[in-house]
Amino acid sequence: MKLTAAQIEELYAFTRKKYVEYYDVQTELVDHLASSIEEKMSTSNINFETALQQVYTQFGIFGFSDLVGQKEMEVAIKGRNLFRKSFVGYFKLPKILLLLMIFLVSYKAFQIASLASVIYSFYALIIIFNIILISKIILIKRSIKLPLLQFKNIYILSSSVGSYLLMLQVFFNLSLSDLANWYPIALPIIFSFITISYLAEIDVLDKLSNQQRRLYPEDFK
Amino acid sequence: MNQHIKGSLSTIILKLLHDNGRMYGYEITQKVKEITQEDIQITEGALYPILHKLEAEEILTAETEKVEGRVRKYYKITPKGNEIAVDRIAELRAFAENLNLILNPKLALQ
Repeated sequence: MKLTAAQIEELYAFTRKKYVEYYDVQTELVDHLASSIEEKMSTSNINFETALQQVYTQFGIFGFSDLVGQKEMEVAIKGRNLFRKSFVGYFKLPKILLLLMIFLVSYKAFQIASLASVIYSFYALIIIFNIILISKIILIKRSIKLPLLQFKNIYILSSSVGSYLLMLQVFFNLSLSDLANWYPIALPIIFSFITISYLAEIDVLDKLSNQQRRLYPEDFK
Repeated sequence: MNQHIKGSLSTIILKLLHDNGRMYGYEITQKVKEITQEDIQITEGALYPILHKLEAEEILTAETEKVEGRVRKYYKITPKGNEIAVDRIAELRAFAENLNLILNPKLALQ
């Protein structure tokens, strides 16, 4: 006995009611519940609702919450690994050429322009990166909500660039101009690292997005 | 039975995927039931976290397909995961054989 489309929708609603908010986890659970319910309904004479309750109890006293929690953890680990891989990629050919270029451009910028204008342009660049990231996040689909979870952490971490620079000044009692004078390569290095962190983040978001698009194309229509 | 299964569940899953190619979650629980004549029942609460962990470790990869009006997620072993799977299966087999020797000392004497 096969479940109807309406019953499948009911199962989606059931997972949402049980606090599974991620579409990809919902989808996997719905297929499992449906297969198990179909089996139960064809071997014993019970209705859909009773079968659903029986199947749900098999998930144990914590229901789906354990599973969701575990999945969030795995996704966070995977996201961090992807970020690390992407970031490290900028220290290998061919991307290292891009890193060198970013470094040389910022190094040159410090030599030919005033410190304030370089710093302001850098902040402008960061704002542009944030706009790119936020616009990508706004367009996010239900199935990419879960991968996004880890991404938020990295995002918060790196968007506090301003506070890093501030900390540097407070701890070492340095002004940015001291830093620029005494360590002419320090600021270009910091700027290059921040830039590639942003590029790596954008890369991770695209990768996760593409992976979910491959798995759940109906969610991206 | 379940306390003995816990530690080897991921290897059992790898073995099934190694033998059957791609499988979906419910299919794995049914297959184990069928092979062991219902002696071993994998609970859903244990199965999916392991599948997701192996997927995050890139030992497994997933693909989806629309089946009977719903989306089904299939898992299969990645080329990188294949080597790991073969190793773990061999380890579990050696362990089972040793366990057998301990539980049936007479066998060891023959």
